[in-house]
Amino acid sequence: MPGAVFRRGDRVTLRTVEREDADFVQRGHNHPAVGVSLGLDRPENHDSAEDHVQGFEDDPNVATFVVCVEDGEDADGADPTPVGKVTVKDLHHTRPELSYWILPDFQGKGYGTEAAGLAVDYAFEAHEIRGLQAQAFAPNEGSVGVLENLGFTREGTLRDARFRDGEYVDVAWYGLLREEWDDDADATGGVR
Amino acid sequence: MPGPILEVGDGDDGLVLRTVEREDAALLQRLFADPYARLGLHEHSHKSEAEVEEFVEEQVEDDSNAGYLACVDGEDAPYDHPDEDETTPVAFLYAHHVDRDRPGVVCWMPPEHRGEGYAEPALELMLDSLWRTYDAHTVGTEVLDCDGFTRDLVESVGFVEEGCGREVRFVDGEYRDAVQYGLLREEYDEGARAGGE
Repeated sequence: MPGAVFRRGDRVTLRTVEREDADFVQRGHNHPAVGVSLGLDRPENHDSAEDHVQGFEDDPNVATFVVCVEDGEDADGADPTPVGKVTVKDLHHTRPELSYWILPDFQGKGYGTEAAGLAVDYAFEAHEIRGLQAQAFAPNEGSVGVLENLGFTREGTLRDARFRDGEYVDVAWYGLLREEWDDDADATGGVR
Repeated sequence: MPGPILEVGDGDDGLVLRTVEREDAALLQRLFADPYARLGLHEHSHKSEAEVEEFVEEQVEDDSNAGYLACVDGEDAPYDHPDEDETTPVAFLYAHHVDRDRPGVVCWMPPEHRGEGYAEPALELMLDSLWRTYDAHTVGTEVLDCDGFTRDLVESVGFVEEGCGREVRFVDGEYRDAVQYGLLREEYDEGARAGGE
């Protein structure tokens, strides 16, 4: 099960990734609707999923979270359902990179946008970064939609840049500068 | 000094591509002193000569990358190992991840050789070599918006501007934009035909 709550939104939480979440990570990474969209091109067994979790633990420039829907209460007052993952990496760069995935059963409900928004809040609050960047395969409407919802600006389209799902696809690059995020927060009264 | 010849240019000016050797570290060290050029190698600071030797050993010599020194050979320059008075290195050309979907190209010319007319044919020679050796579908390169020399160079061989990352790098005292360029194999082939080659 995922660990402690790190950030809490209206419907989802970002929780710490624990070693035992390797099962969940493995399930996501191997799912064709998730892994292919992430650019993963080979199967991941349990050991390599554990290595993935531990590799992120060891990297001081990565902050990664399990996205959980908090849809009930157990005896301890919480009953999180893990639905995806959100990561900010290269935190030492001028513009670190945001990435995320949501299991197909939970897509289309706005969880990705809410979770990624919490990660963006965290990144700007905790780190002296100039902005963020993100990339998505152009045909992946769900992933592109999250970035558009959050107010990222499309900064480029790299033509035929990756081979995925049997064909070359364009890669969409997005960027968000700190003042754009702050302005956005002001415009919505701090609520997104 | 550089090693054996890999590619020979069309002209009669002696332009060739040669292998990068560890003893070329002193020349490449200047690349890492150039705040614009070193970004292409994802480096933000200068390096000692020993560190640059490591770069040659660990990255240039790695099979997933390809490095070249464009040289202007004298009349008697040998095929294999020229002496200092037999050839003049004028540019370093490098591609990372030649085994992936889109290799990334880096080109650096020491300032004293800019304007001599070698930059464009040297980069073309390197691209010819890349397309012939690896089955890449496209190549890409990132150039700082303010690096006019390199932008003009990559545009002259047909790279197409695909985007611009705003304030994505901190270089030379400011947050600066970086232009993303791409070039498709078929575009390059068409360009070469249009150029009458």
